Amino acid sequence: MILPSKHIRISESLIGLGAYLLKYLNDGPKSVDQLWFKVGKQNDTKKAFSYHGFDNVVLALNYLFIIGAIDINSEGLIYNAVNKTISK
Amino acid sequence: MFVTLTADDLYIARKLFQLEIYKRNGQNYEDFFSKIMRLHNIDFIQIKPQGQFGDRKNDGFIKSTGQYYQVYAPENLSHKEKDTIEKLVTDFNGLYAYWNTKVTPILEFNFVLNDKYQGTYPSLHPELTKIEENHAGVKCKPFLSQHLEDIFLKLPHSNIEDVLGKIPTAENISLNVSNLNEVIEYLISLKDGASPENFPVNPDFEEKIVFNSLSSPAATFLRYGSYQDGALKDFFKINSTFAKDDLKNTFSKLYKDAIQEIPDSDSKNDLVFFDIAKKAYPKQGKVYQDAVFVLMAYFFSYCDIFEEPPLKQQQTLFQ
Repeated sequence: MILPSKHIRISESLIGLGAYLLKYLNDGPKSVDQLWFKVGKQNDTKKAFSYHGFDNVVLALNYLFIIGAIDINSEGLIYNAVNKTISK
Repeated sequence: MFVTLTADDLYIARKLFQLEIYKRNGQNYEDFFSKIMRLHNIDFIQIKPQGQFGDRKNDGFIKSTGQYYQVYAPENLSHKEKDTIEKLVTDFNGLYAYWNTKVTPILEFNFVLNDKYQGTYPSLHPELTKIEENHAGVKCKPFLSQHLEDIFLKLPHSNIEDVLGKIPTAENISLNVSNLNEVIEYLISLKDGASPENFPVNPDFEEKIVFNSLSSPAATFLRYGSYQDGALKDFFKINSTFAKDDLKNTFSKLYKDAIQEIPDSDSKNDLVFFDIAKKAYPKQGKVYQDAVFVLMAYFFSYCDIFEEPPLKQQQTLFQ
């Protein structure tokens, strides 16, 4: 579910997860593994609004790529295509 | 151990029985009728159709009392007045010709009709009387859904559960998370269509129960189901984020189908309630029933099933 709805909160939707992923990319390009590690860590904290499995992370990355929010640099790492944080 | 049914159990059993009556036609109804009659009286003998001879116009009988039963359960009886009368006359003649002399004299002929609680045509009764007049010693009467219900509800508890499955009880609802997963997977696999978002303005649980005129047993299921709300939300948080939306669509489709299929009556909303519950069980068993009632309470509170009470609005002083 990309957008939130009556039963899907924004933190549970892909657009919400996408926002988290973009935030993690603010400090430089990362691999899918690194992003998943961040999400997994978030999942384990009590502060987490919702749980996201690896499938959701992949779906959210697809969605961010389709809207042009992320891209892949020459080293195969994902970077924020809007802020152009290609390297640290 | 013999367990008697409480008033609430009987109420639920009656509603589940009525749902069976509404959805069964033809052979399906005949099988249902025969099963209940066999449980009611071990002397009841079901007749299996035999090749070109068929059942010789006899679906079942009790030899010792000379009672015969012939079943007719068309999809919509209200459009079949002529056919019903024709069937009565030809079936009785066929029955009389074969069974009266060869097996045991006919003392009572029951014309079993699945009238779906609508009653019979007035024109059927003169035909029944005509048969009685033409055949001395034969009593001839219609046997409707209400008569089958009377027999059914007097059966022992174990037999009632044999026919309907386990009678659910609200007080013992407990949520087994591993079974919940199975129920959710089953529900999502049901064919559903996306339904538009309907944000409830004022989803007051109790008010909604009253507004939808749900009876006390049905309301009890919803209340007890809602007590497990926390466990359900925890489950959703970890397991299936997007399942909630699919489940909403499934439940709202089950609700809309039930509203269309079940005829209008005072207890229609209760019948709709138990119809949704029954269709949502992946298989019989208390654990699945419990999970379904918890899910129903959840989607009931969000107004995905049943109707939302209109919001009370302040009246304007000047119209």
